[in-house]
Order: sequence, then C-alpha cells, then structure tokens
Amino acid sequence: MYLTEGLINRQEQLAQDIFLLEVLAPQVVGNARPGQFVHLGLSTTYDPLLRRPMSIFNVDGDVFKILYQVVGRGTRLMSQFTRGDVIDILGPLGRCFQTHEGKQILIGGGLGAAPLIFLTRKLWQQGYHVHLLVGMKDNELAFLQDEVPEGCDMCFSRESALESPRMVTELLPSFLEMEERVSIYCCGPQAMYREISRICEGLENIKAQVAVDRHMGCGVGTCLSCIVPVRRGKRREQVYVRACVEGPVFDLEEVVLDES
Amino acid sequence: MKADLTTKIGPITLDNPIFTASGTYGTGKEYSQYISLSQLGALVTKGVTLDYRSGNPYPRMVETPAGILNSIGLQNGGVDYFIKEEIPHLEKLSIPVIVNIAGRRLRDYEELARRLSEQPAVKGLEVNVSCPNVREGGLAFGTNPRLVYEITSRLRKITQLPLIVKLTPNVSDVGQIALSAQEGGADAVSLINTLLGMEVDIWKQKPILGNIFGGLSGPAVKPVALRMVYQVYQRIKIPIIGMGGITRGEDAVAFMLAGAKAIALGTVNFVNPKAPVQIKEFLLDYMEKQGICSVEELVGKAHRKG
Ligand SMILES: Cc1cc2nc3c(=O)[nH]c(=O)nc-3n(C[C@H](O)[C@H](O)[C@H](O)COP(=O)(O)OP(=O)(O)OC[C@H]3O[C@@H](n4cnc5c(N)ncnc54)[C@H](O)[C@@H]3O)c2cc1C
Ligand SMILES: Cc1cc2nc3c(=O)[nH]c(=O)nc-3n(C[C@H](O)[C@H](O)[C@H](O)COP(=O)(O)O)c2cc1C
Ligand code: FES
Repeated sequence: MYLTEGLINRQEQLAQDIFLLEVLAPQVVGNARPGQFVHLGLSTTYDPLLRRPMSIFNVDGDVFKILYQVVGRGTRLMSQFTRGDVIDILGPLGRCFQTHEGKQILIGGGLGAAPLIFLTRKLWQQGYHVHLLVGMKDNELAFLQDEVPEGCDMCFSRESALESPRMVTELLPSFLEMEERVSIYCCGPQAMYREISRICEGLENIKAQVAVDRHMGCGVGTCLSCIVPVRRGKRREQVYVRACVEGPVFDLEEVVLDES
Repeated sequence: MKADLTTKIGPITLDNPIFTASGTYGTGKEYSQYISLSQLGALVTKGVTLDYRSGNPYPRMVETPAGILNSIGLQNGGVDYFIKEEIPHLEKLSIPVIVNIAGRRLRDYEELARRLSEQPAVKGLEVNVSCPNVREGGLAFGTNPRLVYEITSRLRKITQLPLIVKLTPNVSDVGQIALSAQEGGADAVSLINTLLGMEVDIWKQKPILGNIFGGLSGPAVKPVALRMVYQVYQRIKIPIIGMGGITRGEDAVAFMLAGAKAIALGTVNFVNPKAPVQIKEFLLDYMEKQGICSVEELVGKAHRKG
C-alpha cells in the first residue's frame, strides 16, 4: 500500500458517460492484484472531501487502467483529468481474488465487470483457460473483447435483446458440469449474486467469490463505514467486516446479501 | 531559534500538540504504513465499550458539502477484546496512548476505567459523553451538566489516569458543561464531538443513513468548533484539546490561538494520511516565523488584548 502520485497517461471517452483512465504509477502497479482497488484523491481543496474507490481494470507495463462511469461530482472531476496531470493515489488496497483450481468462470454485470479483465489476464498468464461472461444493456461493453488475451472465451448477454441470453446468469448453468471443480469469480450488482447463489445451491465442488461494492470513507480500515454482513465461524454468526480490508472480495457463501 | 512544541495535558508531557481524534485512527496500525506514529503527540483510540457492539446498519457514512455524516454506532469488540487484541500493539508505541471510553450507564464507565487503569500501556482516558450515534448512552450524559459532574467525579475516585472529558457541541451552553467536567476533577476537556445531522435521498425518498441521524464532521464544522473552544477557554482553567474540521496547519494554529493546548485530527486522516506530519511542520514553521518560542505562548493568544 502506497500513498503516492500517479501521472495521467491517457483519458479516453468510450461512451456517453463511460471513460478509461490510464495512470502511470510503478509502485502501485507492481503490487496490484486482481480485485484490489485504488482510493483516489480528486481535489486538493478538500471539495469533494472524500477519496473515491476505483477497481483496477487492467495493468500494462507501469500503467494501471480504470474503467469508470460518471455518476456524480467525483467521477465528473475524474473525467476532466488529462494527460500529464497528477493524481493522488492510495493503494493498491483490499483483498484480491483467490485463485482456485478447476474450470475458471468469470461473471461480470455491467461496468462491475471491470476488475475481471485484470483477473482474466492474470489467470491466462498462469496458464488457465478462462471463460469470461459479461452482461450489458445494449452493446456498450463490446470493446472489452479487445482487452482480453487471445484464447480466452468471452460471451456477452444483452438486456435489450429479444431472446435469451438477456441476463448474464442465464449463461452460467451450461458451464457447471458436475464432474469437475469450478471456480467462479463475480463482479456486479447484488441481484446477480443472489441469482448465482441460487444456481449454485446444492452443487458441490464450486467455489464462488464476489466483489462487494460499498460506500467508503478511509479505504484503509479505520472508519468502519464500509461494512458487509458475513456469516463466519463455527456458529456462522453474522458479523460486520470491512469491505476495504477483509474485502472487497468475499466468498459468496459467507456474504449476507441485501434484500432488494 | 527552534520553537518548542511540547505541551502538557494534566500530568502528561507530550512531544507535540497533535493528537488523533477518536474513531478516525483505529489504533494506529492502519496508518503506520503511511506515517511514523512517533511523529504524533498522542494517539487517541477508537471508542471502547464494556461489551461487544455490532454498530449501526449500513449505510453509515455519507459525504456532505465539505464534510461527512457518520453513524458508526461505536462498533468495537468490547474491553476484553481491546485488552487482548489491541493493547499488545499499543504497548509498542513510543507515544502516549489515550483510550476513548463510552457506556450506556454510569457503571459501564466505572468498570471501563477500572479495567483500563490496570493497563500500563494506557496513559489517559478520554470519556465520551457525547456520541450522537447510540440511543442509550453518551449524548444523554453529555448534555446534562449535573451528569457530567457526576460521571467525572466518580471516575476521578477510581483512576489515577488523566481524565479528558469529551464534550458535545449539541448543547446551548458548552461552557457550562466544561465547567462541570472541571469541577468533577477532569484533567482536560476535548471538543467537539460531531454535530447531529441528517441527509435525505430524494430519489429513494428516504433518509440516507441506516440510523437516520448521524454526526457531522470535517471542514464544514470548523467555525462552530473554533467558537466553542474560544468560549470554553473563557470559562475553565484546565487544558482544552480542540478538534472539529482541522485539515491544514492554519486551522490548527487558529484552534490554539482560540485556547486549545492540543489539537486532534479526525476526518482529515481519511483524506490525507500525511496530514498530522504536514500540520506539525506548518506549526513549527509558523511559530518560528512569528517569533513564538513555546506552545504556552500561542495558546489563547486570540483572547489577549494588545
Ligand atoms: C471497491 C470499489 C471499487 C469500485 N470500482 C469502480 C470502477 O471500477 N468503476 C466505476 O465506475 N465505479 C467503481 N466504484 C464505484 C465508485 O466508487 C462510485 O461510483 C464513485 O465513488 C461515485 O463518486 P461520485 O462523486 O461520482 O458520485 P457521488 O456524487 O458520490 O454519488 C453519485 C451516485 O453514486 C452513488 N455512489 C457513490 N459512491 C458509490 C459506491 N461506492 N458504490 C455505488 N454507488 C455509489 C451515490 O449513492 C449516488 O447515487 C467502485 C466502488 C468500490 C467500493
Ligand atoms: C467515522 C468517525 C467515527 C468517530 N468515532 C468516535 C468515537 O468512537 N468516539 C468519540 O469520542 N468520537 C468519535 N468521533 C468524533 C471525532 O473524534 C471528532 O470529535 C469529530 O469527528 C470532529 O473532528 P474532525 O472534524 O476532525 O473529524 C468519530 C468521528 C468520525 C468521523
Ligand atoms: S472505508 Fe473506512 S473502514 Fe472501510
């Protein structure tokens, strides 16, 4: 973990409110693992006050990339950075995805899929065959194809399509052949996690991990604002743990998912 | 000439007047990767209660203009956990450690003081009678001068440790409460805790925080906090630890001029973990440029005529 400055290498607008930011920060890149995030300081005047957490979308040499959507003031400020600007970085932070043996299935819902691209690359480098399933509204994430190494299987689902697959989770069951071990890595909304949890229920040999999105304050574990309810220990009692330290990646079976 | 940053709170002498604010620094471990904790004047831990507290429901924090609202609700493992799991790390620090305590009843505070006084690593107690985020305790004590007197005087009988009473800004006469703490035998007061507030999500048409209300901190509260430190300084003789929205060296100096013998940094740590060191450097530089040799000379200067 470093508190450091990064140099903006490139800022590209990919769609109306979707941007790709490239930041030169060798220390951060050297230590980054898939699933981890950086906590970005966007203003030197404490306005907006808090840093903003962003997943590492991919790395390339000494550069890390962030794929993000403009949803408010912080992300709008982020979209105004241009090549040569300096950005304040705390990171890399959080617990990364753990690699498990078996068939490698990565499932992303919308922009939440961002960290899976970095994971795809890592798994591919380790010699795994990767199946990457991505759900999008229309066609807005089709460009992800270019970020994925050759030889990885990539499938999309489109919500706007007239026929199946409209939801990315519809793609999952055909991959779950029972005779082998399966490792599932998920990034997306909680509704998607609930559906994956339903599909995997009762199936053995499946290890599923999910990245949980939480509003964050400090990003390093002191403010206790980013809590996630999990069931742990022998009695599987519900306790609150921190998404920024114990997460954002958790085992699906331990997370108490939101109701709605 | 090099300015002398040492300051005294009750019987403890501190290398410099920069403290961490309770609940914003854990027990220091997390930030020790970014700054050397020996640079701090003192470390004030997160709030410790007698029993385990799970805290309030999510969401617990929301950003507001130049500030944050939080409703953590004193999540902590309880005093036994604290002694077993946190003290070993705190023991190794070279700076004084002050433990912040909170309870539902008077008895809780007494028991906490008793237990923590047995720990050599604990150099002082900050008594939180001002947490706005738990229903039963804290704030209910801190808004009532008689109860503040009661709690302070009872703890005074139990412990030799320096007692710092942490005051809430959610009262009409903070000076009166400070006076009660002094009469009860406190070594110092600290202020301010957070200001009670709320935020509404207009799209969901509901309060944002899981607990509905939360405490406001950060730059937005600084003028209120500064005013209260100034007022309290006029009413009491014991030292004041000033806090509330300090983000820069200039803010720290303003609090000291208003009467704070030490200052604490809270919310700013979330944004800039290097703030304590930067603020200390500014303070040193400011004092030297102004020809001020000691903290004593600076404290309360805004009150002096001429
Ligand atoms: C570990 C982690 C990794 C993330 N990675 C990415 C990423 O790779 N790309 C990306 O686009 N976004 C990512 N996010 C979400 C991103 O942090 C928020 O979108 C951002 O902080 C919003 O800031 P803002 O100032 O633009 O919006 P604000 O003005 O703060 O809020 C605008 C809207 O966004 C919502 N919002 C604010 N913070 C969050 C949050 N943490 N999660 C969900 N909604 C939020 C608010 O409720 C509000 O409706 C990640 C969040 C976490 C916790
Ligand atoms: C997330 C958070 C948690 C806090 N927890 C405590 C606590 O446990 N006990 C306490 O006395 N004060 C607590 N406080 C109050 C701070 O110690 C401090 O009084 C207040 O935040 C004002 O200072 P600041 O504006 O520099 O943050 C907390 C504040 C924040 C933001
Ligand atoms: S964001 Fe502060 S504890 Fe996780």
